[in-house]
This record gives sequence, structure tokens and C-alpha cells, in this order.
Amino acid sequence: MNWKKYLFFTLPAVIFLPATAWIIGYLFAAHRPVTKPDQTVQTFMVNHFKNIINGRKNTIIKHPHLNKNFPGPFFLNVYCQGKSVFSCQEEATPLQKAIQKCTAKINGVEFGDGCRIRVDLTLAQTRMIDFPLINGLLFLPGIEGLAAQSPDGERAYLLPDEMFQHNWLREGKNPLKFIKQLKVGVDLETMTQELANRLQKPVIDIYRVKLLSLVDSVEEKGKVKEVLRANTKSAPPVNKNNIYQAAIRGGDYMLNSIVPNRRKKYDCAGIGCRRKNFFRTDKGQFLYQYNIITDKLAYQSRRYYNLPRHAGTTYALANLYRLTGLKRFKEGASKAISYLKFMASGKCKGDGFRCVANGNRATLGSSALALVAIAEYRLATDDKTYDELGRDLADFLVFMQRKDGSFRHIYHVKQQKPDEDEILLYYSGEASFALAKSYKAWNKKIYLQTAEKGVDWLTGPGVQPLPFHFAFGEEHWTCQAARELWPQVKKEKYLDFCLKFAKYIKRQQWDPGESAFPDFTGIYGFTPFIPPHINGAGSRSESNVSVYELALLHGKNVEALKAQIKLALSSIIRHQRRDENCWLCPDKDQARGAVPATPVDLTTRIDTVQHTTSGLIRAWKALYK
Amino acid sequence: MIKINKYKFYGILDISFGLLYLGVFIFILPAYNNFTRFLTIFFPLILLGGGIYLVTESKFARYVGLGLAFLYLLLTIFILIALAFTLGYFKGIYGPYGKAITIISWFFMFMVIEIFGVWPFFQLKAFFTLPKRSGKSREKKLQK
Repeated sequence: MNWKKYLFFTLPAVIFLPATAWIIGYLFAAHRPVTKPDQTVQTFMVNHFKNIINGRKNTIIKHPHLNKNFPGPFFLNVYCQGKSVFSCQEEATPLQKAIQKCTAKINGVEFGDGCRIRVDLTLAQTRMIDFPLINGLLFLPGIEGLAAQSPDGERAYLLPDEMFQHNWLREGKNPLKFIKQLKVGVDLETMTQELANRLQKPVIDIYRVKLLSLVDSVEEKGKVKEVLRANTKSAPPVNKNNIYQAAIRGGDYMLNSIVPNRRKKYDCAGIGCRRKNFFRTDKGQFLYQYNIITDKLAYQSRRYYNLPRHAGTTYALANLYRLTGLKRFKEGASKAISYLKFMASGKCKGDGFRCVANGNRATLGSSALALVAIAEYRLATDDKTYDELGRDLADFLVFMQRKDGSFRHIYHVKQQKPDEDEILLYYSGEASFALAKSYKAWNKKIYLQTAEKGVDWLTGPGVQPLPFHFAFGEEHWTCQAARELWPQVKKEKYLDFCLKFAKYIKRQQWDPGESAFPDFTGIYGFTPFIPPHINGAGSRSESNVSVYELALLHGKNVEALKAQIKLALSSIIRHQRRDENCWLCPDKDQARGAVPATPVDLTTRIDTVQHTTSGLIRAWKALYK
Repeated sequence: MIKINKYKFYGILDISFGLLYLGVFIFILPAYNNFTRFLTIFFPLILLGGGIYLVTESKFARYVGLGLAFLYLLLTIFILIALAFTLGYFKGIYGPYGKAITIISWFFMFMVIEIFGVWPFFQLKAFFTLPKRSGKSREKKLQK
């Protein structure tokens, strides 16, 4: 064979094609930012305006960095109750002049208490090349600003906070139509249209704008924090106190989310709210999905309500009470269990059992998690009020198990018959966990045997199909069940399975420095193009805490697992809303303790708070107590 | 001009694929089931060893080349059957999650043919057309 011929074409292709791609990418797409002003100037830029709005006299300092020119505007925004009530945009040529102009504009304006200052300084502007299909991926969501230029050279700007407020960062393109939830990139078309409207002229070019974004601190008075995606760039350290406080905040968020009565109106937005912009729902439900920036909720009713997640949240409250002894969590859990009791009082029943359903199909998960909550409540309080319901639900789970240990997942309420075909995620693990807890609550041997058979199936025949030789499903409930079965069941294979699961998910965890975005650190995800979901940091920490405890009980040293848990906790603490990172929250009291879905999607689902809170409080107990 | 005979060519190809499979199954897609982990290491090692044997053009090189090609064609068929079983098992259960597994299985079926099934086919064809016992030692003997 004539290798020279092939080498002649292959070598240039191998070397020059990537080199050309890199050079083109670097020349056209990379920012070339100017140097940031130093810390003194950064602190001054924020505190100068903070002092003005607080009525204190202030003069502009002298510093060489203030005389520097920057390649775009200086932006000042004053946020009161989550809304920008004052904004100023001036060309930073030099920076001092822009600050002087904004000072002149803000002087004499009255502001209420608790307003926050945010300043953004342009460090670079880079023209975006038009790649129709992947445009939305070429923009760093929540970090960069966007600028549009008209034919006469005029530019209009959009800052990241505005993008958050209009939900433009979570409405990207859907590349796989069969996975509706999968959205990649940002809604660049709408943003460009908005900029064209502001310019009142056609747009000929759009630019990514690299910013230095700063906000005043409320936790450390007089200090200034760098901003990263509607959050502060620096996160609180992971220590015993911070973990505990974060868990309590999460618990209080869940308590605040309990609907007190049927008369209360809630503002809503999105699907289900087209006719009316409010809803009323059953007393005892949790407010399911809350947007911490728009202060609106997703529609919910008795029929459109996720019962498994209600039950899971109830369990988290009971678990918080069990581990902290704070009475308010017991009361919250009791209210939420009352709602489950109400939902189990209908036609969902059979020979010697009851089940939870909000329609004609009862899922195993609703009853399993309701049982987890009731059993946890019983173990925490010794209150026997819900014992009968708990045992009836446990008997339903026993009925739903097949001889081989697997579970049927759906029960047809009208026909009083289980569905033999449909299998859903999580439910088998949840049922095993519920039964293992039930054994501890009511000491009935059949519960223990059923739970053991369930975990045997989940760690054996359940993972026989080929994909499970290389990957795991969501086994976080399975591993919690394995832990809960101790000391009655001490099978080494459970620990082996769960350690492998922990190792598998560790490969998906963003380690420090692994991503360009520090706010990804600790979360489980697989690509920087899709912001990772924080929910997984919670549910997987719950599981990892169980695996950690189980490993210690088996006498194994699992320091790496401890580090993995702490890293996940750091991400939860970082993203959980406190007053410090809530300048965009119209209702701080409602938002406090909320954990957004992703770093760019600030809607909070109740199960995200549930999993993260349980992960926090259980880790607090396992690692520090 | 560099001239390379079929033994060396397919030897290098087998070594490359052996290393590729090892890399994939050790670093990118490690198996968590112990027996599967053994198999995913064992078969690439066989290929790697066989490839080295082919490069040395030893006495049974032709048979080794044919054997490796047969083995990997069989493995391809086995993996395709396993994926088809997976596809059938997950179709209609687990909701969107099962749908995703089904689609990924389809995707993997095509990938398996490309990654495991193409080169053995050409290797089989190449060694079938070679005269029997045409290994290096035989050639050396003939030269003597």
C-alpha cells in the first residue's frame, strides 16, 4: 500500500483542520477583556452608591483605575423588593466620568429600606457569528450581557438580571422533540427582538458582553460580592453550622408552602393559568412550583397535583423534626399527613388495604412515600394518630409485590386490579424503603420480608438488562432502603451495589476547577452546555449518606464518599436562597430557603427543596453529630 | 514508499482497535457488573495479543487473523441480540425514560456494527484470500 499518498492528505487534515478551527474560534469568538479595576475601586463603585441611597454623603475617590477607559457602558441598578427601581447606563470612558454622571442622576432620589446596589462594568464586547442552529449555545447564560447594534452604530444592552426576570435563559431550543423538558441554550431570538424594540431600528450585529458584576453584601456589611448568575460568586463554606442553618431554611420554606385554607388566592403563571391568573387549592397541599423572581406559582388543584412529591415533602418535614426536635416541623408534617389521609379516604382500596390516589390510577409511589412520611412521623413523635392509615398503606405495598420481589407500579382503582405491564421510575425503591421504615415503626415481620425481597430484586434481577451493566438507574431510594434494613438485614451485596452506584454518580459530579463555572461545582451533570439540575445534588446526597452510614456499619473506610457528599452540600448551600443572594426576589420571606431548579432556571419545585433539605440534615447528622 | 503486507496491516488495525476498546471500557464506559467487566477487558486483550502476533507474522498468523475476525463477528451478533432484547424489554415501560433507553439502544446497535462489525468483515475477507500457511516462518523456510 502506498502510505505516502495517504499521509500527504491525512497529516494536514489531522493537524491543520483542528488548528484552523481553533484559530477561527479564538480570533472571532474569544473575548479579549481589559483588566478589571482593582479591589479598592470595585468596593468603591458599589459602596459609593450604597452610601448615597442610605442618605450618607460621599465623595469620589482618586485612583488610577478610575481614569481608565472601558470598552462599553457602566451600569448601575438599584433593586428594591426584587425590582430595578433605578438604573443608569453611562459610557465608561473614563470610568470616573460614568460614576459622576450616575451620581448626579441618583442624588435626590428617594429609596425605601433594604434596597440593593448592583453595578456592571463592561470588560469586553465580542461580535457573535450567526450559526443558526447553535446560536443559543454560544452565549454564557446568566453571566454575559447581550448588545445589539443598529446600522448607525447605536447599541442597546440587556443585562443578565433582565434575562432572568423574563425567563429568557431557560427557553432555549429543544433538539430532541421526544424529551420535551430538554431545552438547550438561551432564547436568543426573543432577546434580539427586545433589543431591536429598544433601538427602534433594525439590528445588524449582536454582541456578547463580558461584565464585571458586583453587588453589595447584606451578610457582611460594607463588603462587595462578585455576581455569578443572579447569585454571589463566592459561596458559604461547608461546615456544621452552615449545613444546619441551610436545612432549617429549607424546612421553613416547606412550612411556608403549606396551603392554610381553601380560600386563599395564589398568583399563577404558565400552563393552566391562561383563563385566570390565580388559583385556589386544597388546604394542606404544598405550593408545588414557585418562581422566586416573578413571585408566581404554577397552577395546581386537587386533580393536578403531584401526590408522590407531596408525600416526599411530608417525609422531609417529619425527618427534620426527628433530627432537630423543632416542634414547628412536627406540626407541618401532621398537616401534610392529614391531607394524605384525606386523599386515601376515597375509592382507592382493596382487600385489607388502602392506597393514595387523585384519580382512577393509583401509583405505587404515592402510597409508598405517604407511608415513608407516616412511618417517619411515627418514629419521630410516637404519635399513633396515623397508625391505622400507615398499616393499611403498608399492606397495599405488600399486595403490590410479585413473588420474585418486583413490584407492580399502577393500581386501577375502579377495577381494583394492579397493572402488570407499566413500570415507572423510583417506585420499587420507594416501596422497599417505606416497608423497611414501617417495620421499624410497627414491628410487623411481613414488612421486613417484603422490603428485603424488594431490595434483593432491585440489586439482582432488576439490574440484569444490559444497560444496567454499564450504568445505573436512579437508585437513591434503593440505597436508602438498604441502609434502613440494617441491622435486621446485613447483606454485603447491598453495600457493594450502593458503593458502585456512588462511584458511578461521582463520575457525573462537577469537581472544583473541572468546569469554567464555579456554580456547577458539586452538582451532578454531564455537559457544560446543559446547566445541571440541583435536585440531584439533594437526592443523591440522601442516598450517599445512607451508603456512607451503611459502609461504616460494615466497617469500611469511605473517606472519598464523605468528600463527595460535602461537595454536593456545598452546591446546595450555594444555590439555596438567603437574603444575600436574593436581590431579585420580590418576596424574600417566601423565597428564603428555596432551591432553584438549575443555576439559570430560578423556578423552585417543592421536591427540590425536599431532597436538598433531607440531604442536608441527614448529612449534618451523619458527618458531624 | 512504505510497503506493508496484510499481516502487518491487520495486526496494527487489531492492536489499535484492542487499545480503543480497552480505553473505552476502562475509562469511558466501565462495566459495574463484575462478569461484564471481566469480558469487556478480556476480549480486547485477546485482540491486542492477536494483533501483536499478526505483526510478527508468525507461523499461525493467518489462522489467528481468521479467528479474531470470527470472534469479533460473533461478538457483534451477540451484542446486537442483547441490545435488541434491551430494546424490547424497555419499550413501553418506564415512560419517557424507557423511550430514551429504547432510542439509545437503536443508536448503539448502529454504533456496534460500525465499531465492532466492520473491520472483522474485511479482515475475514483478507485472510480467506491468502494462501494457507503463508506466515513469515514459512516464507523464511522457503527462502532457505
